[in-house]
Amino acid sequence: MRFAPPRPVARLAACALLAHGAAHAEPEPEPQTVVVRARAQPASASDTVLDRRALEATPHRNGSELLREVPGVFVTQHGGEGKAQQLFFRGFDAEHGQDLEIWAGGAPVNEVSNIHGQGYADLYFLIPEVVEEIHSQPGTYDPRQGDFAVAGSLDFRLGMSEPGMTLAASAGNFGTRRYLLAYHPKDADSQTFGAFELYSTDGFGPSRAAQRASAIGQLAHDFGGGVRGRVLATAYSGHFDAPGVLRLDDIEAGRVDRFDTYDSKQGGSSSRSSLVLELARERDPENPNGAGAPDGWSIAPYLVLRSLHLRSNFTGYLVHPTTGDSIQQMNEATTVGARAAYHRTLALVSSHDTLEVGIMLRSDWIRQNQHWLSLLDDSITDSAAHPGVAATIRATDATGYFSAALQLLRRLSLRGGLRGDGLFDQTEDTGGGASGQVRSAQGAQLSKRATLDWAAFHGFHALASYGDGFRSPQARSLADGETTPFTRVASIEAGVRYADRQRVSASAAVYHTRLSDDLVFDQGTARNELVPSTARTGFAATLAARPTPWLLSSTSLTTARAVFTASGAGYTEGDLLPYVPELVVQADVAVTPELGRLGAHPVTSKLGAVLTYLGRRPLPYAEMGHDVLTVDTTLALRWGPVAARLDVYNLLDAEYYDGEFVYASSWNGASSLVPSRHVTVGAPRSWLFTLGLFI
Amino acid sequence: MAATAGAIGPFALALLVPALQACANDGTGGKRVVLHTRLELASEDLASFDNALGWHVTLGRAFVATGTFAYFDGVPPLMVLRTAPPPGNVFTVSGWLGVGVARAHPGHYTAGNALGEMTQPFSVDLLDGTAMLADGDGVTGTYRSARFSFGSPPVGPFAKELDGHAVLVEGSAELDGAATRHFRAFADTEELAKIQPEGNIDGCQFDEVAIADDGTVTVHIDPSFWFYLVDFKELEPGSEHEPTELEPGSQPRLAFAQGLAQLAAYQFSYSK
Repeated sequence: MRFAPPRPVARLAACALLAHGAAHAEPEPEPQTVVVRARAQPASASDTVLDRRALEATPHRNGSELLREVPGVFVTQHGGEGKAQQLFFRGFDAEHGQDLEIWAGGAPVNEVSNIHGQGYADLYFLIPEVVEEIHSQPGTYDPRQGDFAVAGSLDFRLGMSEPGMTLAASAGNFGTRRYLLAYHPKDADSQTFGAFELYSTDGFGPSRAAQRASAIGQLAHDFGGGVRGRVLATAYSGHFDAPGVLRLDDIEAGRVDRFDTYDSKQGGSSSRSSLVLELARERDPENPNGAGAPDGWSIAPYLVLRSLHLRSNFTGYLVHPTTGDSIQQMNEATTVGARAAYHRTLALVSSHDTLEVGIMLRSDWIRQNQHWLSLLDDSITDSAAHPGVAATIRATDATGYFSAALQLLRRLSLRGGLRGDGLFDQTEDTGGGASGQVRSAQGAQLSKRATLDWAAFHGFHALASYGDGFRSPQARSLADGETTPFTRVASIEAGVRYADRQRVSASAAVYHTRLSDDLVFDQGTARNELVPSTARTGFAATLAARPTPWLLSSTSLTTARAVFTASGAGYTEGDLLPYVPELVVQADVAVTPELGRLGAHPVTSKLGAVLTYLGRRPLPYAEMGHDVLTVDTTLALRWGPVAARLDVYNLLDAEYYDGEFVYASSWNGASSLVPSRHVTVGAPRSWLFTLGLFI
Repeated sequence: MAATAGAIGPFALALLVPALQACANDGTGGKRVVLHTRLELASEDLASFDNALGWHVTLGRAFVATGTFAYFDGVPPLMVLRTAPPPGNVFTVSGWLGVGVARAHPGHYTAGNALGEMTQPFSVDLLDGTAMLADGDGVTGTYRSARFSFGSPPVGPFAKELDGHAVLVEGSAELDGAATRHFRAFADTEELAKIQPEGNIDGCQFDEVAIADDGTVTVHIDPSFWFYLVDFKELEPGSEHEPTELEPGSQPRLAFAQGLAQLAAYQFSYSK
């Protein structure tokens, strides 16, 4: 089931329960400790929580692919297995994260002012097996949502339910290998675990090899009295080749193979390490006036170290006819910050009213550069006409918010609050003609959020939500003394949601989002450029069922009509935003019947399939991109401590284009100054066979 | 019941798709257009003309190997000069005193965005009326400047006459009191590349027009600019059947090559 039923409690209330491991029935199951955390009240009708069972229903090769389960999300990979994937969400081409706020394990994933793109969010460090839950909050309706929460927010919560040691080895076509080592103590709650992943592939064509290694460890401890602590440490590194784009006319004319590459030197490397500490005391959710604490608090400092090195070539020999247009980008960032909140019950309108105040602080030290490289000898070819970039940036975000949940009437509640953000950016150019120049800018944003929730009858809620928010600009684009020009977003949503004891859940909502300005891929400069104000209007619906313990089915459909609401930059009011898909459909089904017993252990199985459809992707000049329809399947058998699984991706071997872009380029095949269609090719049918041992 | 609902979910929602798509508008700003291409003399009487040194030039044959043409939204350099602001404002003291405004690099040409192009090389007889070239591709927008290029090696119906050259012109030049010179002038793209980057004539004027539909781009060539500074006096008279070739390194040859690179010799216009 995709939705957590709303509960009249504050977020993250915790209590320890002894429960039996229902997922893997043993003759005499040992007791396990399961922590049940109450979920936040939904901020909108389309607020979604995907639990472990929903995430396990379909196959995933990496943490990014888990996002395919989130209603309305479509992910593509145009830069090799290791570069952050391109994210589409509810009418937004969020690029690598510029419109989607992402947190994982209590640390932010979006990178401020990354040289490759604002809000760059690389999720390859996540090991899919230890993602316990994904909380999706479309829109900007929760006061806790901050920078980059334009299309919405995603929160990955980490945990592992499989007790003991897990050893798994996988092999697939295209030389793909994956090894997993994980451990979760039987007597600990799911938040305590350790996992290690090693992955390599030759890729399904030239320049697609990739390697990565990731380790994640988390320890949660109950100090008693409702006080809990958590420590999370992660380390990840990856190296990848990338084929880059191909001109569509070259593919269609047979001048290049669809899996070929023009420039085999593309690719990059990425690393990420993080440390999160969390200490929290939860308010007693069930009996605010009873023995439990009437208030709660939490503080969670974090440290993130990131590096990214990319080499790409989008335009061939257009800018530099002799040496080529390879671009090298390097970004190193150190991020420190913390979240802290205090929440309590306060009988304002009813005895269940709650208040929360919180602060968030974040500071980033960034060193970055970008240079043109020669394809002949890799020398730097920056020039006055086409300069490079070198800069150091200090970015600071200080935030305070106030949130309240009031039970206005027996069936009517109001949730919302205010949020203030103050952002400071200081940039020093360290290269080029402006070397030594320092610029600083400061800006502030006050955001208002509110949700009205009418509990019409048991399990059925009608919600109306409003929120405004912002996206910060690239620090390098700011002038000295400038008041930071935020992209301001305002969003409304109205809809209904229904949940029947976790067996059936459904939601339907209409939404409308307006942006003061926007970013759209520009065919002239081959990067995102500022364009006039825009609006998205759409419809999102989900339907999920878990009628039996062995059947899970869910479907989501999201439509988006994204248009310009002002003219400028070559666009006219009413034009569709290019690159924003208008239709995303996801449907998955998983059956997990127990086939019988063999010796001392039952034989369980799983057959799962997920269908993803992306339709109507507008491109510049009134053209439409190709639709995408893929089906992935998984077939698994488990006998006691031994399991085997076969994952097949793109079962129908659909020939699809992962990404489509329109701009001018000059390659060895066709050369054209006029913007033309470029594509990144989607992966063909591939499979991965896994043998697992659970000790 | 619940299972049924979950199972039919994908199909029920899929039924909505065609209805939703039917409501949509595909406009994303602009569209692609087909640009037919033709090439002709800027004026029918340009088969003969006077140059800056007083020579009256009459063309007998004029073959051109055309390369690719590209069209941009950047203002051409000649137009930048014409549209430069007046030197002073009468409502300011400096303006009243006639003090001008200094501008760095006046007339500097920036091509801007490429909006259209014709990429098929061809060859034409310039004196044989209008020639139709291959169709070009383009997108809607305001066209203001263009790139003209010569083809190398020449292809098309007059490739043989061109004999490997980008341009070949034969004719006669007359000056009062001097013998008539019969000449053969030709140039290769290598020579032009010494004058213009890669031999491309960038920044030619495209009569400013907002193109919204398919149409025809006409390239108007004015060969008088090719011979504008050619001094024929040192040239052997030659004859109509054995014209004198312009020697490499000579003033006529260098001046002819410089003339071929003149922006004003090529002008582009659009018609529906």
